[in-house]
Amino acid sequence: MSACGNLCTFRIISDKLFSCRDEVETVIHSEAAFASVSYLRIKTAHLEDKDPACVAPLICPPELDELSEEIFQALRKLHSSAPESTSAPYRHLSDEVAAFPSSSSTPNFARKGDWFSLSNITATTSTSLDSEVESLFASLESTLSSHNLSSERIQHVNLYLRSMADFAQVNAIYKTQFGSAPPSRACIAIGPALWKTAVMEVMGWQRSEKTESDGMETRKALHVQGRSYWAPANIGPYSQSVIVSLFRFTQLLAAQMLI
Amino acid sequence: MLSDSFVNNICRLLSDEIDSYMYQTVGHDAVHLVAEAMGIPLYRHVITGTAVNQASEYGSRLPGASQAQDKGKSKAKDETEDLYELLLQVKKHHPDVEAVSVGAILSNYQRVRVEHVALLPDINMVPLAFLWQRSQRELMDEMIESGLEAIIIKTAGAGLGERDLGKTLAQMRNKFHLLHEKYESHICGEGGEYETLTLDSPLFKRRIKL
Repeated sequence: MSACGNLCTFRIISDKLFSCRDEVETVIHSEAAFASVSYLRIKTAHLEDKDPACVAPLICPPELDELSEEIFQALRKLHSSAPESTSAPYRHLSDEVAAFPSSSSTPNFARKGDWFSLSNITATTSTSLDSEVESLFASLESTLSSHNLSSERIQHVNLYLRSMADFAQVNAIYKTQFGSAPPSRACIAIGPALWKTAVMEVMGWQRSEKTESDGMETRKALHVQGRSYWAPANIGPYSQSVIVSLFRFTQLLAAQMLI
Repeated sequence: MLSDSFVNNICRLLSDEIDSYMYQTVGHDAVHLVAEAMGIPLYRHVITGTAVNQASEYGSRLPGASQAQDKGKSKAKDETEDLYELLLQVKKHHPDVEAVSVGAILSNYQRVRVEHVALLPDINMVPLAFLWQRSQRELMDEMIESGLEAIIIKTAGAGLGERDLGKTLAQMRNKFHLLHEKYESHICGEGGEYETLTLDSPLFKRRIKL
């Protein structure tokens, strides 16, 4: 800190704040021995010029906190000690999904306990990308309602796209299909092997009636849409994490990727 | 973008001291000075709603239903909708505003509601919540070191009282630590233990003198 900075700090600490005490009024809102509520009502106050040389520069906090820094360093060490491989370390996904079993348009429904899953949800019409995605959600809705379920019960979605180029356009429609705290989601681009532009599978949770207890919060979502140091960036219409079935704690996480 | 967000940052909802889940109301009589000290415009709006929805999430989980557009259905107005009206007013005067800053450190309650309003189609601002989940101990020290001078203007927490009014954060720092150890009070007042008024900060072009 500069000499000037030191002076400023000193001035702030030593400032006589009560020198003009008659210009503020203390109000006791509710008197209590332990934690009373009282506040100052500011009656008169004015602005004063300050010495521009005494303005301390703003300091940015470190990007990573202690624990994250530790993890980062450990990963870095691990990475640098790993033997360099010249061959491609990953297989291309489209080679794998060439063997995708289904090219039919019937969704598969399965239920086990409080959980249900619905896979192979596709559009029945596809005149444009928009109409295809809308049709996909129409198939989802009709399958859900045929099992007496609603989209609110969906907790996690796996979304397969032929191309990531469609990501923004698909998201624009996708987000209108859910309200606040939407399901967590993994979105994967498969490549030309995918038999539709978009294929979806969902995982849902609905407490069976006999175990239902009223007023009990059984679902919690972490949905941070703002920018912060703490939360993983929210680049699509999904919750970063959804916790359901609080007794037998099940946490669903959105797919995270370092970009 | 920074100066844009400050415009919003300075929006305060005007009311006498009331029990609000969302807003600080005490000290509103000096808020205009904060705006003047920073040299940016101030927009105000009177709180007309109350904390109707006190759940951890805000808005319907059903698609397409925003609480703001859904007003006709419920009789009581939630205080979150006051923020919508205020931001709409800001947007009208400054169509180029891109972001809205929320100072929540611990409260999911506040963050979720500001995000909900900021991302409504006719507001469409990026919510910035860079203080969220920061360590309150670290943050308090950073604020003091940066030359931010804020005084306690309301106390409502265990071990705090009238004698603490008017003291600066630097003067209160050790006491906050003590109360944290004793009662698990929040060092940055996130439990509503106290409210402050900022008299000077590195962002102030002039300082407030009481």
